[in-house]
Amino acid sequence: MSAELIFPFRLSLQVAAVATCMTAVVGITVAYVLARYEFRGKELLDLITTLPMVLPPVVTGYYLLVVLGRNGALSGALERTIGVRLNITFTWWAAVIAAFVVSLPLTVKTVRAAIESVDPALVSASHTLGRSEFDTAIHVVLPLARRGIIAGLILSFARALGEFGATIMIAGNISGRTNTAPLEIYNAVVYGDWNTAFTIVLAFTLLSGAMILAANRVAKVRGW
Amino acid sequence: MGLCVDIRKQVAGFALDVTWDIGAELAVLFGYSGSGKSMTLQCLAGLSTPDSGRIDCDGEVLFDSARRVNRAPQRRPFGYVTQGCTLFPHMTVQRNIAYALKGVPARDRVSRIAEVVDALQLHGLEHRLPGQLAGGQKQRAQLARALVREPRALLLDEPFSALDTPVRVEMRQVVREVCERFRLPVVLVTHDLYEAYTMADRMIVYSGSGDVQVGSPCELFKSPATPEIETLLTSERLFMLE
Repeated sequence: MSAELIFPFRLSLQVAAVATCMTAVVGITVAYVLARYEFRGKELLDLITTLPMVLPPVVTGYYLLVVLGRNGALSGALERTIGVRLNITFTWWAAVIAAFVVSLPLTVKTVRAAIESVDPALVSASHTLGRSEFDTAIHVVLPLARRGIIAGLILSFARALGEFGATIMIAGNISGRTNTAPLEIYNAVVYGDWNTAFTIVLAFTLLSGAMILAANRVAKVRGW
Repeated sequence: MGLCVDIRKQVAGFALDVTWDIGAELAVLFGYSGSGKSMTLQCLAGLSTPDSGRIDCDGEVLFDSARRVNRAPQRRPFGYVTQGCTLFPHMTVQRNIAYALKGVPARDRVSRIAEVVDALQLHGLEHRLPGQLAGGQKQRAQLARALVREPRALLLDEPFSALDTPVRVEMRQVVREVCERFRLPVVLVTHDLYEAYTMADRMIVYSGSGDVQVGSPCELFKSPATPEIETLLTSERLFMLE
């Protein structure tokens, strides 16, 4: 692989890794809340965390720009209230946020299903043994849902790695700064460099295939 | 001393309205399926909330609708064991038992675990996962886990009904021994008439139409309060009911 391809791949891995860490924290929490509680606005939370999976990524990217852009809703509010100027568009952090938002639903869906399949009698048992809701989540529910969690995170990582539409909207396509591997495929094709495009496409195909197999393997492994 | 229950709860299909109290004895809660036996235990354990009434244990109020007291399950002094296996499948028997000992100093844990392992004859099984245990062993491990918290009453919801007959006979003996060794009230839910007669110090019979009669097996057999309870206590059909 040529030197100019190293950067996009390293950037993609870095973006996907950070986005997946964020997904792990936010996704598992949201999935747990959706699986275990009834509350007002539950459907809305479900909708918001699922939409990026269904919407065209470009549309998600548009919304992100509207919220996080230089004159965006959140940026404006932050500047007015605490005087902090949010300036993350067209940086690699923007690529992280795009990858995070777009890959979050995969973890939420998978983990929610895994948590819902944990026997409620075990949760009741934990409560009658004097353990709090939090203890029960940490020691009983999440360990028993761990296959779903790992599978969900693998899928999210793979999705984050290949994120294109939302990324180009809010992180741009700046060579040496935000040109992740998927963007580089686009660039290569635009410049008629089919060999480079094919190299990256092949790498992605192999990597994604391997991750799907890994996720399936994790979901199937027997134990206990 | 003991357990006082006076609760009402409207559930789809039937209305639970029961009053009874027991001391440090083995009380069998007997009646048809669907007469509210399990619901009563869930209300005791705090997993279900009665519409109204009062529950107290050794004079300590756990639930009182009039005074708006409703202790969380975590703060009720009961050991609760159900028919199915609720051992945590990813923890060994020992870790399952230790799980109930949150807040207990580390040096006391060892002796408390040793005591229940001894009482329930779990020697040699401490490091097995629940999936590697036979039915009776699972129920003994569940009893051990429930007892290690030093509960002030034991609530057993048909703990033997999933077991084969020989194991069931053995488990009845185990529960009797536990009751004598730990000297605490035990409420055993069953729909097996033989089990009820042979195990009960005291029987609490739910007739299914809202009547409750409490007494020794002998008293109940001799003078059932209603024709319905009489049928319930003499019917051969009972042995075949789910």
